[in-house]
Formats: sequence, C-alpha cells, structure tokens
Amino acid sequence: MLFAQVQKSFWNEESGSSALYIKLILALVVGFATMALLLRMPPRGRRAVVVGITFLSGLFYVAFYLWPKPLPGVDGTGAPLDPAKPRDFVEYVGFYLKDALPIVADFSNILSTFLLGLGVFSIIRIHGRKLIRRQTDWGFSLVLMFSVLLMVVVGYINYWQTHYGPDPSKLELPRNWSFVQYANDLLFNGLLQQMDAAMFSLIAFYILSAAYRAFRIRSVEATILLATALIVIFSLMGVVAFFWDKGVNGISGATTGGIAGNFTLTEVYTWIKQNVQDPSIRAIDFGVGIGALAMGLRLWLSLERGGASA
Amino acid sequence: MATEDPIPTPTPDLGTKLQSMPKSMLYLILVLCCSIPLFFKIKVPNAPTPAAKDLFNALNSIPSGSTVLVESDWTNSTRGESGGQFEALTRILMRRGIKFAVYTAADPQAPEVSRDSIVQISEQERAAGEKGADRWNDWVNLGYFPNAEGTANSIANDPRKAFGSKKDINPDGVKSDVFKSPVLKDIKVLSDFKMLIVITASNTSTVIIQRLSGKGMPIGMMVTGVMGPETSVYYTSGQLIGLSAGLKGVYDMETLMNDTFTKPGLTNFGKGDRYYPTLHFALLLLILAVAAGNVGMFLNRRRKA
Repeated sequence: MLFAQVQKSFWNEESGSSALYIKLILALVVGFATMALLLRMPPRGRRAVVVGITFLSGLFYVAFYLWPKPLPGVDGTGAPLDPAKPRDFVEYVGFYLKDALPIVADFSNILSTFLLGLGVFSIIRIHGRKLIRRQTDWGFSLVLMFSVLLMVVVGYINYWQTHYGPDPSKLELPRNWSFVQYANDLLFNGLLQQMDAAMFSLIAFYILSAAYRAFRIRSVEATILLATALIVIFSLMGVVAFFWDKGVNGISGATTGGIAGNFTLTEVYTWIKQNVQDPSIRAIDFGVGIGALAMGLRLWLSLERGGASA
Repeated sequence: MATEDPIPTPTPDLGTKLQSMPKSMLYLILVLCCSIPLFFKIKVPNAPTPAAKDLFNALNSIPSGSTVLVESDWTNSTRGESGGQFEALTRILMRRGIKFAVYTAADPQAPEVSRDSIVQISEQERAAGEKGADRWNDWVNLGYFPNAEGTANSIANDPRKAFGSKKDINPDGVKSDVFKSPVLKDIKVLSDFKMLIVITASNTSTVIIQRLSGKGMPIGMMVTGVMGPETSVYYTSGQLIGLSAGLKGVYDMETLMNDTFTKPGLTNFGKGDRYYPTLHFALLLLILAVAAGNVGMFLNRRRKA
C-alpha cells in the first residue's frame, strides 16, 4: 500500500519528527547566513548571484517541458521494461526532472508564502511608524494594527484548538463551539468576509454609473456594440429569453428546421458567442501569450532590469 | 447704488436632464432594485445552457464511491455566484456518494470559507434524510497552495507527491496523512481522479487549463459572470467537459438538480433561486439607464440642429 511521501529525499522528513525540526533550524541558519552574505557583497557580485539563481530556476521548467519524457518500453521479447529504471542518459535526466518537480513546486510555494509575510511586515512597518509619530489619520492605523493583532491571536488559538485540541473534529459544528470559535467566527465570517463582499459589490455602482455616462450611440461601431450587448444582457435574463424563445418557436416551422428557428434569443446569443466573442478572446489570448513569452524570456535572462537590479 | 438684474438661469430641458441624472439618484435606484426583490419569492422560468447541462450530466455520470478533485478558489467577495456554485456542487457530490478532496491555489481565506460551506451543506442534507459528508471519510481538506502554477504542474506530474505532505483530521481527532483517508487511498495517478472541478473568480482557470488539460482527467469549471466569456473559450474547444458561468450558471445547476433529485424535503434551490430575480432588475435598470442617456443625447442633438 502506498502512503504519502512514498519517496523520501533530502528535502522531506516525517511531519513532527526531530529530523524535520533539525532541518528547519538548519534551513533558517543557512537562509540568514546567505542573506547576510548577499548584503555584504558588492552590488555587481550580488547581481551576478541573483541573475544566476534566476536563470537556473527558469532553466528547470524549460528543461522539464522540453526534455523528452520517459515512456514505458518493452524488451526484445515484448515483456515490459521496469518503468522505474532509466535505459540511457536521456531517460535518466527525464526521471530526474520528473522526480525533482514536486520539490521545485514546494520551493515555489514556500517562496510565494514569503510574500504573505512580506505583506504583513510592510503593513506593520508603515502603520506602526504612522502610529508612533502620530501622523495624519493615525487613528485608522490604530484600528488596523489592533485588528491585525486580534485576528492573529484569535486565529492561532482557534487553529490550535481545531487541529490539536481534544476531539477537534467536534468543533466543526457551532453547537460545540467555545468562546474562541465564536470570536473567530465573528472576526472572520462576521467582519472580514462581509467587508470583502461589500467592497466587491461596489463594482455594481461603478458599472451602472459608467454605462449611463459613457455608453452613447455616437458611431456605427458603438451602435453594433450596444445592440450586441443588449442581446447578451437579454440572454442572461431568463424571463426574457424564455418568453422570446417560446414566441419564436411558436412560429410555423421554427422547431422543424425553418428559418425562424434561427431567431430565438438562445440561437442568436450562441452565434454571437461562437463567431464573435470566442474568436476575439482567442486572438487576445494569443497576443497575451506571445507577450508573456517575450516577458518570460526577458525575466529569465535578466534582461528586464527594472525589478531585478540588485 | 444701482443693482444689476440677476441673469436668469435657463431651466435644463428634458434632454439635458436625461443625460445628467445625479449619481446619488442612480445609486439609490440600484440599491432599491437589488434589495426589494430579495424580500419576495419570485419564480423565474429558465432554460439551462448546454454548457451547464454538460457539467451537470458529467457530474451525474461519475460512479458513486469514486473521488473527484475540487479546486475552491473563491471567498465571500463573490459568494453570490461562487458560493451558489459551490453549494450546488457539494449537494450533487454528497447525494451521489462521490468523495472529494478540496484544495485552494488562489486565496488564503478560501479553505476556511469552503470548509464552512461543506459543513453547513452537510448538516442541511442530513436534516433532509441524506447521508451528507464526513470529513476524512467522504472529503478531505488539502489546504492552501500559494503558487498556483507550480502546484498545478506538480499535480499533473504526480498527485501523490503534490499532496503527499498534507494532513487532515481523522475521526479519532488525530492529524493524519491524507493518502490514508478513504478519499485518497486509491489515488495513484492523476486519472484516478474522475474529474477536477474548479470554482474560481480569478484566472486560476487558465493556469489549470494550461497545465492539467489533456492529462486523462476531465475538467469542469464553475466561474463568475466576469470570467464566463474567457472560460467559455475552453468549453467550445472541448478542453472543458462542462461550464457553469455566473448567477445564470448557478440557477441552471439548481434547475437541473430540481429536475433530477425529486425526493421530497431535499433543498435543490439556493442562492441562484434567491438572487436571479435581483439580477433581472439590475440588468433592466442598466438597460434603462443607457437608454435614458442616449434618448437625452438625441433630444439635445435635435434641439441644436
């Protein structure tokens, strides 16, 4: 029977094991030492290190996509070969890349997680300074810092209780909640999530206001655009689409291949979608794809100096 | 001292009035249009789209007891659409006895939001005499992966390694390897997942298509109205087995559920049924506002000519 972490490597250890904690501490020490070393290096040397690491990181994924993938093979008698053993150098590298991918993905996940920490650090730095110096609107910063602190404290206690406390699965149901779960629910679902929804709902006001002020039929193109938008909007309104289609289908021959059948709202919208909308989006995607490829190459080869200058 | 006669301010004509309605009035009408329908039970006739039908049929053809992968990339900012889609999906999976593993690659808040929703739906299903879904035995939470691209690559390469380090709480209250759970114990390669369903309000849909399409696992998507057009491209190309887009998509799924799950007491309608009339009024207001602006412009042009 296969279990998780079936292939042990240098990069993983059993969760909660002392070997894992030792490696975590070692990683921290190496990380800080590397950071200190980088800060002490002259800018040119630092840039060379950053460029080198960027190139190697990108090279892995380029190699992963372009290098031939190992395929199951057969020997001279037609018997299947051992799929776990490479037959030549090309397959050896293919196996290596395949095995390394989850480790590289874990690295990228860990690096992305640092961005969350960086965001929190930035908030604390900016608003902490504002608070200490009593700058304009420092009251808002106080509310923000207090909210962050409260959410972190309540969130962690709740996490600990719902993951490591006695019978944590019971705490999923509100009838078994304690004060901490209610507090977490109030902060997360009652406040944060509601404010999130409120912010997003503001878009409706902007859309209405912008459409009212800007959507004018001043040219042939604008007329076509407005007519198309109207058809799409009506097709999203179930009542309109239902009764329009019913009316059209009531015309003689509409449902038996007659020309009237092409004028149901659903048919017209589908035609617009398949012949206008989808090709346009594909064309845009194609352009964006080429742009992303060019940008990716510039970043990979460190030709994009803006954000990479060390 | 002589006083000058004040210059009379010309009264704005209808055309000008129609073109310059105050913002506050527009906003007030929108608030009323969006709020009032919520207090009334309005049944809207509906014909589900072929894309939604395909998604529903694909979910209905998955054998009971098998496992699907769910990427839940939504939070409450899009709960009107994504929340309704997720609820419809989990109801279908629970009623059909399909196990599911949920992960997130878009937002750190998403795992908690989806977990709360699953627990709530499971309770409602049990109250209606259904089995619901038990954590660990019927579903597992694989958590949050901050890097969507790397994670999708890793899943495509080997799902056991991609999720290998994840743990969830088993019925004994102990955190244990997710691959020991009944949900994932038989998963060895990607195609062992009978389907991947992505519920998203962002471009993680594109990330998934780029890395997981054509790898032996059908992909279905439930996206917001804004993401609908660009995701529909992948449905027409055949890379998606089905698609539910926006509030119309939610109502489509609920309508199809209502036609299929006919046992008395079951809840088939949810957010789609509640919010779809509101969408009608909001869209109608949008049409009227654009029409008013254009009528005003024509009246002014005629007056000047």
